[in-house]
Amino acid sequence: MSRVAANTASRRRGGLADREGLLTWLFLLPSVVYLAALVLVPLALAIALALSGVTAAAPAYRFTGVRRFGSVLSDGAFWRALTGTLVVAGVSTVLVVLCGQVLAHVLLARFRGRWLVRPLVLLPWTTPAALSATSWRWLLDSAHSPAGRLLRAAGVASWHERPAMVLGTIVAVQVWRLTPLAAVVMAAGLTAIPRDVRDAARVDGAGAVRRAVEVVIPLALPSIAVAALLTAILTCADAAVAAVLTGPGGSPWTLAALAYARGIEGGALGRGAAIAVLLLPLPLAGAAVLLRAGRSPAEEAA
Amino acid sequence: MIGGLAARTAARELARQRRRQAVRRVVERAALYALAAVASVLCAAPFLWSLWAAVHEVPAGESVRLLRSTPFGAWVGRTVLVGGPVTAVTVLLALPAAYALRRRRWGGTAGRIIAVLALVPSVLLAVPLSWAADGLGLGGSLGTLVLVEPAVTVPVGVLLFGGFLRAVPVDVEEQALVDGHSRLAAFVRVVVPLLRPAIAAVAVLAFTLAAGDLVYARALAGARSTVAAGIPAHLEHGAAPLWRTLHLGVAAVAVPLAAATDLVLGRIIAASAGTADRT
Amino acid sequence: MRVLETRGLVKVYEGRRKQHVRALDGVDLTTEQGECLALLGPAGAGKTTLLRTIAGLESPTLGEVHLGGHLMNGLPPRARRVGLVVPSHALYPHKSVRGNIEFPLKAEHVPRAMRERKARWAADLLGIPDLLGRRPGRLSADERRRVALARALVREPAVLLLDEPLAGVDPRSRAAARDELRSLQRRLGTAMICVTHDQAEATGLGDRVAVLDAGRLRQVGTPQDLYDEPVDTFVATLIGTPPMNLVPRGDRLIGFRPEHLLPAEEVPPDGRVTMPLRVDRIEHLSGDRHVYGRVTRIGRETRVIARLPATVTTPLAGGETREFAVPGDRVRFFDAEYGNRTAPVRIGG
Repeated sequence: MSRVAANTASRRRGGLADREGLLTWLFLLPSVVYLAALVLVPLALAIALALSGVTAAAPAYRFTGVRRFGSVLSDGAFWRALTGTLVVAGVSTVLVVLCGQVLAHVLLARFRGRWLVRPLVLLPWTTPAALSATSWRWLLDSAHSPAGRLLRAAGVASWHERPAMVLGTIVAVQVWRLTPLAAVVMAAGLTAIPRDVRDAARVDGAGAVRRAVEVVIPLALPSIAVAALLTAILTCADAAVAAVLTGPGGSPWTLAALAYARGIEGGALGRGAAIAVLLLPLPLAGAAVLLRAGRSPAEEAA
Repeated sequence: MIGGLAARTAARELARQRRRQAVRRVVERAALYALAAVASVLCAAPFLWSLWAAVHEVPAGESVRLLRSTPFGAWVGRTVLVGGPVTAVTVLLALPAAYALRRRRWGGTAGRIIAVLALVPSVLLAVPLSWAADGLGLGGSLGTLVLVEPAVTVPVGVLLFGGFLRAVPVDVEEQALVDGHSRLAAFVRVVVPLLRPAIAAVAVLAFTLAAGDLVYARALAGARSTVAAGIPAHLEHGAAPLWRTLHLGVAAVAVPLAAATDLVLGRIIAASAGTADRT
Repeated sequence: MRVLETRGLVKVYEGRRKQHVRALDGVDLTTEQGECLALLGPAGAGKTTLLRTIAGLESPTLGEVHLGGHLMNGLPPRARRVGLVVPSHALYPHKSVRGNIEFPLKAEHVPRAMRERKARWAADLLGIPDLLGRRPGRLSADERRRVALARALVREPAVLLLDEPLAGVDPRSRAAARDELRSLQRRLGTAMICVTHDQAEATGLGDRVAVLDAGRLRQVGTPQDLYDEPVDTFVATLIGTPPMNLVPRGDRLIGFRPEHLLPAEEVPPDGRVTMPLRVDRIEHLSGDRHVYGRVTRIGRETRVIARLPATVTTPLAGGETREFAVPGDRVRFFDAEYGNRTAPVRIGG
């Protein structure tokens, strides 16, 4: 008992390690400060840069006002890139969700040779996008590769020249690159469906199609939505694939690649920032939907 | 008589259904193997082509010599030099943050807001960051890149650790408190050891993201810094043999990353399943 | 000596849509040195909340917790020096059995040699010295229970808090486990609070039993007290299997235990209460006969159970009606509306 008394006296206040509120903030604050400094501050700077005439050669800040946006909006390259971004994001999202759903089932299934298939299937996701884009470019350009031969057989000498072909190539690489990620997200959604619910449906005599339509898909719908939104946002935001596929000097077909080519490779910081700021609404809208969709009924009840 | 007939009909019907079930099973398995094979070939297509071209069109020794003549080794070294510290910073920042968020009512919302930060287009941030870095005299250095990359990896880490933490039973943690440990000690001595697999998963993912980034690397550390920035820039004016050899290099980078991710994939799926009902 | 005292404990949780849930509603409880107090109540009665509040894992909305005469409010769990065993046992999966048992000692910076000796002592006490090197994942439910107990005991806490201590034990070895737990506690002289929803476990384990319902203490007393003199119908029907029979009569309920309801010729005539019983069904349970039937005359027709010991050989068959009786001093009376004990009333016959 005396030990309790001694402890009690010394610990009445509770040391730092016991103060829950303080500990929470100590744990949280470094990340919050870090992210604020490296995301929110640059975001503000980007808007400031977009209103200026800064270039890499003349880095001093000069305010030029909204004139910059006018010149960006009157540029044909901008409108072409905007259309390209919308087309690529839309088509990629649909294809990624379809392919990803199939791949998710493959990822979760048990079969012989799984140890080999799984890392192969992950390659597109884990390989740096810039590198896989160069690989694809070579695969399509080379006259000796199967894909190159196929293109030539179809009468396409160079896919760089036809807009539809370029956009199709960007879509193909994006779908190839993002399908594994979407598959992982949707596989997680599928594993979250309680096994006994599926078993119950089987015992109840529901066929495979009925099970999929009435049990699996409704329960996996949140993860399908998340995968779709992620794909849409990532294709909008990605500069590497389109920039590498067109190569430097070319006029990129998506907004992010255009901003990258002008702002970073070209050194026209103000112009690049202006294009990037105009790109922001697309991912922002997706993120807003993602945040809203995240509030599940269970959480609202809690 | 009629009973016997009914029984025979029923037996025949059951046999028919059994056959159908067997056929369906075979078809399902065949479809699965076919899908797995097609998916593997499609996913590995550029790399298979690189390997095939490298082996068939150039002697192996020539390929290695050519690869040596490029700064490929230096790029890989710099990629590791960036990826390592970024991974460490990600775990050190994201794990405590995710833990703090789990213990708060508003943690779910705050966690999602943090996670969404990973989706801000990197071009948008890279332009002002490169301007600021140049202004501060920090441009063109790997250190700046190490400082900036966690802006993408920390949000991803917070999201994943959140999912993993849901699997750590609260009563084990509370037991540590009753057993005489402070909240901090319970975190360090019970929660962190239980999260070791999660830490491995987040580390692999953070490294992959950091190694894969082109935009920040190009903007902050220059075109000849990491593998992701170096190879496309180097190839721009290269001839066919150089392309072939460097794509061997691409495969050499891609395969270890995919293999490492495969090791932690099961855990990532499990952790996202924990978050899937919330995200 | 008073080891633990709670005064007017109230715990209010804010539930969904600002609804308040009173998990504890003014609990006054004391435990003496060396005593085993069983906390009995149905699911959701607030038993576990009470235990967690004592351990410091929950802070009470109102009221005080005293341990060893000191006010514990506002102190973290580690300052309270209590031993806790939860139903899941909460073993540290990444530590060996030895590491689990030594973990509370590490918190107090006990020197290594001393730690090993104490862990050994606790393991010997629970008969698990040969498990020390194993991992929790490879233990049976019973072994896990023993490790959790050893870990709770190793600091020699002033009070041991056990939440459903026999939850995982299979029904056959429950009595043995109960016995072992009691003899362990008697040897150590530690005060012990056991939470359980099983009345047989509570009355078998506890020196005293505290019956908790909806956050309030209904009755605290020895198992005998609770059985013979329940303060209300809740306690009367919670304790004993089969539960006490309750026959409505006007604004009262007449209560009597099944073993006191016997064929009339088995009950001494003076002061007995007789009633006709129509037999529906008879169950034979370990020598006793449980007679399910309906009684009339003393009140409204009601289904009752009579437990006839093997010594009563009166032949009985389903469908027949026979005169049964209860000794007058075994009859209890309760208020029909509120369920609390009331003064006896005269029953004709």
